[in-house]
Parts: sequence; structure tokens; C-alpha cells
Amino acid sequence: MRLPNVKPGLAKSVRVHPATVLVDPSFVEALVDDASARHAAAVAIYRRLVVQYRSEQVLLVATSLSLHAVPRHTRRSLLAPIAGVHVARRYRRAARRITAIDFIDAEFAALLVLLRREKISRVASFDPRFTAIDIELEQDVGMTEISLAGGDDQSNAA
Amino acid sequence: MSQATDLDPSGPLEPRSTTEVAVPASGGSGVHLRDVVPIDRMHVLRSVLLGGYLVVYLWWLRARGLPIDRISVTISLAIFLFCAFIGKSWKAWVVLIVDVVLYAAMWLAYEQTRTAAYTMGMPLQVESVRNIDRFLFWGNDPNVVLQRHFWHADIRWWDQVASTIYYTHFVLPIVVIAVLWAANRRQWLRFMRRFATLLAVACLMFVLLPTVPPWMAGSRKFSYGIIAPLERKTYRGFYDLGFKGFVGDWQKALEWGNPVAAMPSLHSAFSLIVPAFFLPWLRPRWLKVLALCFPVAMLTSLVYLGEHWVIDGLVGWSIVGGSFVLWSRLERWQRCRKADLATAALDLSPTAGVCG
Repeated sequence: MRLPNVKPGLAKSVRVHPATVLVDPSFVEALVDDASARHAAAVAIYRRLVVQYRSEQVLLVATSLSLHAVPRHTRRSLLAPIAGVHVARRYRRAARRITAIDFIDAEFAALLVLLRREKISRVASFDPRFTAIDIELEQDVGMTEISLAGGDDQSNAA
Repeated sequence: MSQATDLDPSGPLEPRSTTEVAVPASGGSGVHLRDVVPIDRMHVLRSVLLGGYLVVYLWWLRARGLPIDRISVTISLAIFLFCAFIGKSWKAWVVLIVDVVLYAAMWLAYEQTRTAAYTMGMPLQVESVRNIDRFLFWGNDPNVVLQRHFWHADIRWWDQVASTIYYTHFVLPIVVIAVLWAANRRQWLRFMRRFATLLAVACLMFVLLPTVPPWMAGSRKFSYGIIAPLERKTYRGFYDLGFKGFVGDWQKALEWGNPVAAMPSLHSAFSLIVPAFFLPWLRPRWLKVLALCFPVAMLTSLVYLGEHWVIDGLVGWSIVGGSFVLWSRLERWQRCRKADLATAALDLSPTAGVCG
């Protein structure tokens, strides 16, 4: 299991090449929806990301579509650090070529193309399909500790 | 081998409990994106085109000389950008066009202010800069001292070095701008903010503080005669290296220039802004030191070749420093403001960070 690559000793080099973190639609949804079961986890992860954004260790991006699904005032406050990224038509064309894989739908495939083509290596997401991909997933450290102490069922899930 | 098999190790689409989903395991042993996402053919095409462009550019440099006049530079930059953006989305092209318009406006404003220097009729700075240099060098004129010790009728290796360093001014910033444009727009914007600020301040100073360069101050053609006459053959070292075409074009370009735009020295400023921008990238430390020797070598060359006073170069460097401080603070402020907005929305206490 890889952990987020924020090491105090590398602060300067991280600032030169801040890692880009894709905040995917499932995460945005959980973050803005107080009633979501994942809201607490989303807030904890996002709080850490905002701290890293403040010190220029990360850049936060989300697809324009997922941002526009959120009310404008929320985009300009809660999601202010997140920049919109356009999923180009050519990305969708490329995505169609990988949707043959049984569990990948067009939207998820487009996200994969976006990650690859924009050289994004970190994702904040609650979409379990990302666990099958070799990509760094943002996780709530507190919840990880709870889950690790939780028992075998958790470790099986991971 | 089917990718489906690789991607479906444990049925990840099966519904999971909230806790499970909130603690996704990183896919350290998962499928690589490069194995799933098809190769970007347009990226391959762009790489081939840019490689071809580099070959043609180098051939042109050797056979015909360095493209130096405004039109040639614009054409070569346009071809480069076409090669670098071919196959990208229409949105990327729209952004590029807006960027190009702003970039062109910046250079047009620069040209216009150079013309304005003549029409404003501000008093020429002649003795003041000479006196500052004398103050800095214990009563000596550094231009005169350097030429007295190193200038010979025949061309020495240091003439080639000084001349080559001098001419990098016409290539280095444009190459950096072009490469950043193609590689990373965020870094391009960071560079251009600092570059445009430098250019704006320099233009203002060209208008308000027209300054006679040392070669003019010592030339018998002009009536100043405040220092000993200086040789002004910036091209001879480069000519000796076989770049004849380049020199011819430069002589034409020189005629368009403003001869009393010595303060600040853009040669010095450009030679600092490039290494200063890339300094955080450079490892190890000796490479940083080496990079910072370049502006020093540029200023020494300028003084030796009689193009600038030492104070012109120092002021150029100061503007670069000011531009970096200004934009670093503004960018940090903007970042902190957005982070604060998010933090406030999360109903958290403001996080302690670099913005303090």
C-alpha cells in the first residue's frame, strides 16, 4: 500500500512540481452532501489536501462537469482550490476504445484517459474501481487506522 | 491477454460497506494506466514534428544564421507552437490563441514605448550613470579598464565567449517561453507574469530615464566624450565562430532599436530571469551556482563590449528580483485565499501554513 508522497524533507522539490490530485465526482458528491455516509471521510481527506494546496505541494483538479453539478457559491467557497479540467472529445474517443472492458463505463474510462494523458498520479475518490488501478488514492489516515484495527473483514476488503 | 481479466481481480464493482469504501486501498499492485489507456498518437506526431523542427532550426542556424528579426522570430515561434499543439483539443487552441494575442500585445507595447522615448523628450542620462560606475569602482571606468586590458586587434577566445554570451539574449528567453508554452501552461504563466512585469518596468524606465550607453558616451561621433573611446564590435567573436548570416540580420535589427535604452539592461535582466526561474529545479547545488554565473558572465561581457554600464545591469537584476518577490507573494496570497475559503466552508479553524 502506498501512502501520499508528502515528505517534509522534500518540501522544496514538491513545490517545483506540485503533484496534481484529481478530485473525482464521487468525492465531490460526498464532500458537498452533508447527509452522505462518506461526508466525514471526505472532509477529513479534503482538509488535508487543502493544507497541502496551501503550501503548494499539490494542485487540485476536477472535471468541469463534476464542478458544474455543484452550486456556484459552493464552487467559489468550498471548492475554490479546485481547478476545472476539460475532458476533451479526443479523451472520450480514446475512452470508447477501453470501454470494452466489462466494468468500465464511458465516464470512468474518460477519467482513466484524463489521468494518463494529463499525467495525474493521485486521485481523491470513493469509487472502488480505482482500487484496481495502480494509482495513488487519497485516504483518510484516521479511518485507515480504525479500519486496520477493525478486523479481518476490513483487510479482506482491501 | 484480456485487460478485463487484469482489471477485475476481486469484483471491485460489488457493493461495499461505507467504511470499506472510505478506506480504499492504493492499487500498488493494480493495473498500470499505460496498459489500459491507448497510446496518444497525436502525442507521437507532436514529438516527431518537434524533433524535425529542432533539426531544421539547427540547420538554419548554421547555414543561414539565427532568426533574429521580429518577423523571423514570430514565424519560427508560430511554427513551433503549431507543432506543439497539433491534435490538441479546440479548447486548448482557444486558450493558446488568447495567450498568443496577449503575448503579441506585450511585445507591441514594448515597441511602442521605445518609440515614445523619443517623443517624450526626457533629459538624457549621461554623466550620472558614468559617475555611479566610477563610485562603484573607486574612480575607474570599468568599460575602459576592461577594454584596455583585454581588447586586441586580433580575436581572442574571450572575445568569442563574450560575443556568444551577448547573443544568447536573442534566443534564450524566447526558447524558454516556447518550451514552457508547449510543456506546461501553469509554469508558462508563472514565467510570463515575471517576464511581462520586467518588460513593463524596463519600458517605463526607457521612457523616463533615457540613458546613453558607454560606447556612445565615449564615441567621437557624438559630443559627450565623458569616457575614453570604446571599441564596439559585439559581433566579431561570434562572426569568428562562423555565424555570418546571424550577424547580418542582427545589424538590420539594431537599426530598429532605441540607442539610448541603456537603463536598465535587458540583456542582464533576461540572463538572470531564466536561471532564476529554473533554480528550484536544479540539483545539485553546484549547478545552481553555475547557473547564476551566467548573468555575471553576461554583465561582464556587456561591460567589456561597451554596451552597458555596470549600474544598468545591476538595475536590471533588481527589477528581476522585485518581479519575483511581487509575483511569489501574489501567487501565495491567491493560493491562501482559496484555501481559506475552503477551510471556512468546511467550518474549520484556519490552518496554519506557509501563509501564516
